[in-house]
Amino acid sequence: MTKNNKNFLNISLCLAAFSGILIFALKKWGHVEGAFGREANPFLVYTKAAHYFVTPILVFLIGTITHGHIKKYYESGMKKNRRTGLSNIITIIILVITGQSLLIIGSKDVKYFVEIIHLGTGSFFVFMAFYHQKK
Amino acid sequence: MELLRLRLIFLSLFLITVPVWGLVDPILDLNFFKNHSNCRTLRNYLYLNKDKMNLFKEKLGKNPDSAIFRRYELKCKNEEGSVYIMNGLVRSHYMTLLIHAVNKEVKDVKLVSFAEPTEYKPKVNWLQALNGRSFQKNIEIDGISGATLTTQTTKNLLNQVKIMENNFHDKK
Repeated sequence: MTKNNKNFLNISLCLAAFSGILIFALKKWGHVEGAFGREANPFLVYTKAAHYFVTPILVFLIGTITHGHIKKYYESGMKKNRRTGLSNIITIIILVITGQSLLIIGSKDVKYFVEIIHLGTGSFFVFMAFYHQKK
Repeated sequence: MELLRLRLIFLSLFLITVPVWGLVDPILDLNFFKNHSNCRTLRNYLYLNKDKMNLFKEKLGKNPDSAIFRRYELKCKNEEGSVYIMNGLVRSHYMTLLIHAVNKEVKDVKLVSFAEPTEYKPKVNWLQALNGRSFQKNIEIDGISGATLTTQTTKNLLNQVKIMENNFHDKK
């Protein structure tokens, strides 16, 4: 993995995490009072747009390191960082699945449950991704 | 002197218009109320105290989003009813319905605002099909294809009106 690749990955990771947490906070506590009752926060649209823009880039960047980093070190049998690396792969798969599911789920209760999983897994992924690099 | 007079005029205009502007209710500016201009409209907001909130929670199965409900009494020549301005979350954004209830029945349902994409917006004829539903029976409504959350929110809002009509109908 090149230094540029790593930097882009970290920047997109931070942006995706920040926008994701902001979406949750704005949806949960950010509603405003309009003329006819509650309204969603006006910044929610832009935060969502930012998240939808950044996350495919993040997935793409992870894709770019699949061959030269993930596959290479997995096949080499290197034990250092293996656990954190594998947990990162599992969490990114869960994140993509839950993220896509959130767009199509038709039940509010299930959607809330998936939102919590997505948020929890996302936070864990950010933590583990940096831990993986530092170790 | 001229400038002082102008300032005084502007200040007095400001002092008069600001409180009056604050008194204008945007809900009463809706076409529904304009079409019922021959009827008497009284604001009768419902504030849920602890007991009412518990009853509401018991009937609805969950806490309502707000403890204040926008309710208006509409007194026409032939009939008297209540108009509820109900607001609910669809997916990420809110929709507002105007629900006119007369004699524990849905008289009219109008869409006031809808912030989700237009493909999820309920059609006028779908809303008209809700007219005549009784608040004394279970409210069952046909789903909108591709807009499940809109259907669920509409049903939830109607159920909330049902609870208010059956339990907290203290007329002014």
